[in-house]
Amino acid sequence: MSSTSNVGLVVVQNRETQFDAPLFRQITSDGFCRLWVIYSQGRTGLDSELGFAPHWDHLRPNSYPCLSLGQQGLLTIWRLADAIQRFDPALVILCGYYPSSHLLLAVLLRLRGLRIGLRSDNTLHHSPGGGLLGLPRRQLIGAIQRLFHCWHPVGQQAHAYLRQLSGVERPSYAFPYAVDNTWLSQHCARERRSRHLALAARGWPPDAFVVLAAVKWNEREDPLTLVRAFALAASRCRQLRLVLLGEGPLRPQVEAALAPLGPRSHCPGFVPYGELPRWYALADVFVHPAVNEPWGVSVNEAMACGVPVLAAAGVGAADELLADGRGGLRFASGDAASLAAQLHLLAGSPGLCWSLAGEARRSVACWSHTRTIHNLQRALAS
Amino acid sequence: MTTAIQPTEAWPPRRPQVSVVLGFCRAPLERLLDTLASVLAQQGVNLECLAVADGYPEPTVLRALQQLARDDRRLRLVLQPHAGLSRALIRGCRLARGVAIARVDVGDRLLPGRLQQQWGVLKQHPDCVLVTCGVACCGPDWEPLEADVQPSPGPMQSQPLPQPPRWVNTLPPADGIAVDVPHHGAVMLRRSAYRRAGGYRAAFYYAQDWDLWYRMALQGRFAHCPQTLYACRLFATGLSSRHWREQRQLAALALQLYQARWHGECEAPWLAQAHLIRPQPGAAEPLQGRRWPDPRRAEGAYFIGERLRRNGDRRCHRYLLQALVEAPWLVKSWARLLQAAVLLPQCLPRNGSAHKSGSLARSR
Repeated sequence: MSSTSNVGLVVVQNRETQFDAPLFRQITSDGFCRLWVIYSQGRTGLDSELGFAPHWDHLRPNSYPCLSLGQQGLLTIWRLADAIQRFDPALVILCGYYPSSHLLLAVLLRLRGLRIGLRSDNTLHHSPGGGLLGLPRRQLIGAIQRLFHCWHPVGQQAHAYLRQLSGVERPSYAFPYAVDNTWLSQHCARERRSRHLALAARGWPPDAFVVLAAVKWNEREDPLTLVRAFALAASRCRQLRLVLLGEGPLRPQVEAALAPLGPRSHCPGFVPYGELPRWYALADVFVHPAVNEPWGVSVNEAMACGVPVLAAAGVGAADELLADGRGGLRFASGDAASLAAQLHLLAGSPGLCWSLAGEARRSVACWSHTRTIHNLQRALAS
Repeated sequence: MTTAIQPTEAWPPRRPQVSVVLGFCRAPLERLLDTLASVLAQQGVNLECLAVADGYPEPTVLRALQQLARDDRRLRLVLQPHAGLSRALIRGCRLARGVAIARVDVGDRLLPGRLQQQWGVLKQHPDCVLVTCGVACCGPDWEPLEADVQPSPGPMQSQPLPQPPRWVNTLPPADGIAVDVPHHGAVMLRRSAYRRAGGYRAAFYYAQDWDLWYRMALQGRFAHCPQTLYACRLFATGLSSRHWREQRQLAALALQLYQARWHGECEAPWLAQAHLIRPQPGAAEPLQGRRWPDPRRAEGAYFIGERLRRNGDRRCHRYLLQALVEAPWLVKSWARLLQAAVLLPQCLPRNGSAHKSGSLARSR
């Protein structure tokens, strides 16, 4: 147990996420600090883009101390600030300043003399507010960012955003979107042993080259570009197969586009998190076609499983995890012809896929819960 | 010493129609693979691709390319010590076995149908020695720099419909070739004519293409496919951005050589002059890293930013700002940035409460 075991850490987040909850569990079990997680919009809730509340089957209940707020009124936030003050934390990390209750809480905590940190995933590329017309907005956001004692950007781009808009530098401790690399790689390796059976079960040949995507079926995540690219590449490459996980409002259009592909594509819908390693084990390449995604944690998951990634330029993770082609390639958002060419290239070269897969594992190893915990320890000790 | 890495089996399986020649120097793997993907995805021709490394690549790059070359026998990787692009192209073209030689530059893309269309013109017209095509000029992230041209065909359109080529008058010696060959990477040459013309010349460290075009002009006709079949990218750190002055000087010399040849004069003095225009020994040419202000990079970034601004593309801010950082004394960068800031507020919100103001709760 570390020397900081009596130090308190509060994390305020909108909702429980599939990638942070295992981290909180690990922090609690390690016992390096007293952790309290607060979900400001309830632990689970409706995902407006999916249209339903996702259920994370890999998360165990009561594995870390958390509070789920039922409402966000002024009185509730005031009482929450009281409760946090009684907890006597060394640091309160607020994950974003939206909804406004987070901002209100930040102001209250600051007035009470508590040390507050901001976790941010916004990037200059993915955020509004450029030009002279965006000046007031930039000024406002900069002022909010300066309110915090320290920053916890999820990556280098998020750090650049904080620095540029605030015009100042704060002590920064990265709090990246990291997944449980060990859990994913171990489960994926186990599933990969029976890959041939999974292929046979679908009636796919043993030499099938499986393209996997796990996206919301909406315009932002753009599954149609992937389907078009796949159709182009599949017209030349007989062993190509597509597994498209997810759900969303574009289902009719996606199904119509997939229809000519027949049994070469498979859409199991929204799958439980615990089943993901099985799908990554089946995949030869993972595609993230989103046109506007500040991060894209499925890129981490795929790389942790040793699957090369083809990501659209609009995916924030691609800039930081796939730098210089380490672990995958990027394509211009919406450019189906380019993605098709990349699929064709990888499908024709198992050796290149193998080489990129090795790079993917090495690249994502730096984005782990262990690294996050180390950063949080530094933040608490400072 | 040069090394050619070849698979053990007979290579290539049969004589290719087109040899695609790519010279690269310290290129990032991603750009290389992106370009190679567009080459190897070409349909309708029997092709080989010669990737000539001008200087030994990083181990990661080398490993990936070797793997690719082992799996796709159309690709051949050639390594040689750093001696400039011209020497890499000379070697690549010497090793080429195709009836035609097509060029491509690292970071660029062949659009679907390019090789097939250009090969079709060469096949149909034996007197034609060089075919160009329309070029989509883009920024580093494939931002279209020409307002009316997109870098890729429509989503489901695999290949553009062929249009008849336009013929180019190549023989007005006073003025040079009556066409602006749009991009070095967009040409396809008849190999026999290339050899007769003498090929690329090492005396031309830059602008080796113009020197060759003028000599090729004496071998036969030039044709131009009007469709956009090639997408090139401009980088602030690219050769054309950093060395456009030298390129212009050498292009002018190439024209003088052309006229001298036409009048039966000796080329030697001009070639000696061309030989002097090259990087100074020991001059650092960082491809990516930026450690100190550099007016040349500023000009490259300004050029990209200004083209985007004229197109009404909000992404111009980034490049104009980069130009300012590289050379804060350039008044034009300040003026254009201000103009862009007022008229083109940067605005990328396409969706989502998640991106409004730092909300982090997001599911898959």
